[in-house]
Amino acid sequence: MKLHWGILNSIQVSVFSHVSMWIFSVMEKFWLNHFGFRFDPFEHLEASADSNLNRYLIGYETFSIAWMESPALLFSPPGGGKTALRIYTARACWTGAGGYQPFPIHYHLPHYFQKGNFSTLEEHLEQIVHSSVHALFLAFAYYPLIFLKAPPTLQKQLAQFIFTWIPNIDYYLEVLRDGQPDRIAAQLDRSYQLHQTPDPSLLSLLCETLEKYLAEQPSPISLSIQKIFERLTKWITQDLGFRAVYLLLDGVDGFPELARSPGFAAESLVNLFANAPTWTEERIFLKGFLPLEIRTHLQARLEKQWPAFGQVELKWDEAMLADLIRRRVYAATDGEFASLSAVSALPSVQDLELELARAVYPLPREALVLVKQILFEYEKRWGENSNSEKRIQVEDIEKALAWYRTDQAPIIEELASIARG
Amino acid sequence: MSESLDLTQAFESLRAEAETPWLGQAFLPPREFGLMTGPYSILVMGEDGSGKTALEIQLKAYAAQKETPRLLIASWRPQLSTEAASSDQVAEAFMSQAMDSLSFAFLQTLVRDPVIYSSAPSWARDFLLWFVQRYLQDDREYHLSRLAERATSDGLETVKRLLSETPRSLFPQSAPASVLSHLTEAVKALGFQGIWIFVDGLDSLFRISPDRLEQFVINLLSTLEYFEDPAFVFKVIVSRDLGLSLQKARGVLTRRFKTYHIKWQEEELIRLTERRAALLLKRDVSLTQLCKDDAWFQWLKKYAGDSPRGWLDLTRPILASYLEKGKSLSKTEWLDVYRQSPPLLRLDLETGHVFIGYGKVDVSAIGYKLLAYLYENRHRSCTKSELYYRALRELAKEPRIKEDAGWEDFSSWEGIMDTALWRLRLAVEWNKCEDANPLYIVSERGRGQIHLENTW
Repeated sequence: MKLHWGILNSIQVSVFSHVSMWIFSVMEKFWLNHFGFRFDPFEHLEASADSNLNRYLIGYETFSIAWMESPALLFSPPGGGKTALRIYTARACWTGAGGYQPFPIHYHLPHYFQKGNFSTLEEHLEQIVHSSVHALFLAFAYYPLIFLKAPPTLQKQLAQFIFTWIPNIDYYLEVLRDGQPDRIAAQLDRSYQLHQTPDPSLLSLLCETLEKYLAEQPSPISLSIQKIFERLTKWITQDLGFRAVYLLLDGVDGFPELARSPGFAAESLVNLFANAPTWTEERIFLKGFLPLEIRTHLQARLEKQWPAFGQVELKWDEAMLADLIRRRVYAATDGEFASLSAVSALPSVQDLELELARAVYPLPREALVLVKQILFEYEKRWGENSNSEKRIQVEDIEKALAWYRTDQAPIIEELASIARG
Repeated sequence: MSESLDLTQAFESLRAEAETPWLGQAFLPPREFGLMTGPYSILVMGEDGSGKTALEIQLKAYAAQKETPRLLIASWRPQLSTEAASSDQVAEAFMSQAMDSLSFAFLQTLVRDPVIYSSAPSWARDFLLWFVQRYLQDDREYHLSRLAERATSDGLETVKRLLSETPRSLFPQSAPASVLSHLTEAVKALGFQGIWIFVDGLDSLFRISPDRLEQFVINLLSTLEYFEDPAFVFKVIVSRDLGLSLQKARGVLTRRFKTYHIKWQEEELIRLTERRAALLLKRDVSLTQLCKDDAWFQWLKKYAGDSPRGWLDLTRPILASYLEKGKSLSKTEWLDVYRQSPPLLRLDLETGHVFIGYGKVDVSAIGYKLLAYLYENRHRSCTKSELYYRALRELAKEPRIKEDAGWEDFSSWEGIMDTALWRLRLAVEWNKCEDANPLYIVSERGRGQIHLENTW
């Protein structure tokens, strides 16, 4: 591409006049239009931000473990799909417009490990209750009828419970008045985003009802955290009609101290998991989406309870990764085609997805990284010569592969090192 | 831009910080610049002279001139504690220091455009009032005086209110991730696309205290909750050494950060140099026009290396002479210039690499032994005998007489030495003519001694 920089004509020219065309050519994602994609299925490397995740998740075996009514441990290395599976599981709970499904509660370990001492059941329950309240409030925001259909006495109890645990609830009610529960979910916990909006009149009624209860004098509650947890889960499973509570634990490797020390991470979790089998009678099922490195450490500490957990390791092979790419292509083109080969100049006999899957470290995120780079190379080349054919060329793929093998080598080596333990 | 840009400004200081007024017009974006401007955290690494500072300045300029939707940008220069930092200490530093910078950046936007605040939903205003009051440090009057310089009267009033009103007690003990997610939603409600935090000054801290800095940044980049919100992104540009050591951070491994290596193709370096020369000359110019002898361009390509700094630095003396003469240089003229300002010879004794200017030069194993010895003793001359025994034979001491250990008859090694030196000169010297005076490996005629010149 010839860069159009007009320095000789005007010294006042915008600092970006000469590069803007190039930037936009890269950032506009012309390939979406060229290839007939309705959206970019490779955009989000972090699953919680992907509103289309449910359209292309693969690995039903692992989902069945996450979905079954038993405590479960789902292991994977970094980038192996833990969060995607957790988000998919949570969203599946809301399929069918709420009610009669499990009620999902996301649980992330808190940031501050006060001097490395965060491990008692009470400490976990405190955080779980906190997240449960967010889950309940957002469930009501997305599906106001769940709250509005409840008897007034229960409504009042639930409202006061929410007010106790979210002391600045009036702030969130103001946000909710804008009509977008996603906006509150983005502030409280992005995992709860369902990317949908409720009926405005029902939402308005919910806000009014909650504000009415907020104006009333709250009844003092003085219960232990265990009792509060019991009462909360009873409301969900018995009074609100959900068939179970799914506690979805993730982000265990989200802090350097835990990521560096799987033993410490396991120690932090052992009291929580030790109690999980006893909760099944109350239809509370703990699902741990855990880094692979902590499995042996956790097993050593949970010898007795270990068999009670459904277990699976998220393993990826070339065929699965190729399928992952194909499904995304299929979803984003509304089923017009399912392979990037359809928009490439490669010989039709070549299985492009399989070739790419073979080239990357076997994790879904790595496959997405490579595909994104191919699309960047295509966009860059097309931006330099907009008369060229609107198809991925061999050179785009070769450049992306070279980039992956050289620039990304340190990351690949580190991932391999973690896998080796 | 200054209309009277001179050679010193354009080709000599080579510090992007000093080139800000006109850098935008001389800047050639790295091929992945468009991706770097995307809504995700990036870790960019580059060698010295690769244009890291220029890139950062241009990314900031890009973000600052983006109007719809605009970005809230702030620079955070971490201040490290004297001890190694755990993740909660890093979080504390991040929240107190970076949020302070962000608060001020927000007020800077507000003094110029207060309507975005006054027309925002009340919850967003409430949050931002709380945020500014909670995180803005130092004296309010001082901030106001700084902000007043570019303020509209409405803007200044709005900011004064923000600094004096009592906020609602929204988040007394919130975790960092919660503050960040609330902040991004609030600024989005004001019409911002998101927030960019530039983490600055890491390389200078890395030079002073590498271990402590590395641990600090790895802990920062391994705390994944900072990177979950697509509207809150980090832009980190560091030296290659630091960048490589950060690859093991979880945020990088899990691709929360996109990593880029600044690399330049030869044609890009030519274009970049020509662009700057054109800015100086106020007309388009090709590097090949500077000199009638094609060899000069080959020389430039050989010794300028693969960094913008190398190309600009080595072009400077030729361009200066071209400007002085007002025409293309002849072969003699450019060789004269080259002799007056030759690119310096440098050895990296750890890696065994030889550089002239910014380009790596291939030297044979024997040649390297000689060169390394001369380089280590570059402040004095060495005899051929010393070079033979100490450098080639690697003896601890040069034998002087027959009885000394390792002594060999002069006639048995003189030819070897002369050949080795001749080959070394062929590898190192640009002008290989018999009658050309060497620039680097200089023989002192009549004394049988050799020394290096034009070295680092």
